[in-house]
Amino acid sequence: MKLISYKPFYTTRWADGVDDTDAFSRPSVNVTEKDNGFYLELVSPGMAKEDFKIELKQKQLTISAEKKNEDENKESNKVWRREFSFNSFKRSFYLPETVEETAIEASYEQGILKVYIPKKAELKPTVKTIEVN
Amino acid sequence: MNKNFKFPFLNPEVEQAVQDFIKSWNVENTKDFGWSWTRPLANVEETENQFQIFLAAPGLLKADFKLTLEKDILTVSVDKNKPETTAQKRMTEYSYFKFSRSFKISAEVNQQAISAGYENGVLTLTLPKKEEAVSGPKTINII
Repeated sequence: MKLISYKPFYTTRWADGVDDTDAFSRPSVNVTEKDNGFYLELVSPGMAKEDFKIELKQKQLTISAEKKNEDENKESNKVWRREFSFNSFKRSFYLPETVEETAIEASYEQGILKVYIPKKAELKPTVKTIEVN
Repeated sequence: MNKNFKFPFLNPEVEQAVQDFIKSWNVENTKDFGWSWTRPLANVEETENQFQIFLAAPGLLKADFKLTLEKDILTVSVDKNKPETTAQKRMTEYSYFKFSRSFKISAEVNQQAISAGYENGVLTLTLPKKEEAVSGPKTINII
């Protein structure tokens, strides 16, 4: 059964005006869907749990981060190669209508911010057995 | 790229040149050529006593990493099977299950003392310098 007829989570800056960070510092995201909900996994290594801020406003989920404890003594180091930085970012996603907004959960494990977005209970596929009298 | 791969019908000199090119290409970190996995990003820094390589490879376990040192080429690789899942993919921008990156390390590095740690999705390789590289040239007093 297909519950969603459009592609949720996809956002394009130029189309809908969502203010994402520029493409270079935008963290990569994987989204998978199971019967019970959506699993969003955002790559953001080297952060602390407290650095993230997740906001929900009118079906728009915004994940932002601000690094609070910048590493010290970095200036004296000679940098040979810098491909990533623990910088701030902001990324927004439009959630489908089918999700239970009040039950969203998030955790941070080994550099990946995991957000679980459950579906509304009545939309989860259920097996109903009907007794024959 | 298989190291033992031979190009047929090439004269040995040309073949050597091609092999060298591929070798240098590997060192330039494009060994992990391919679209299906993400090339982990690296930062390399130097202080007075050591070099440090930071590799952003999130969502793994310490045991997933394989570190090898061959002469002066340090290679970090991960070759992990993707967990089987019934989940439908809605958006896929990364995959860190399989990759390999190589770094040519400086002659100043004390190869016996290289250490590694994995925290918050960042693999940190610490490469201490040899003592003589740290202390620098000695001045000899003329009596």
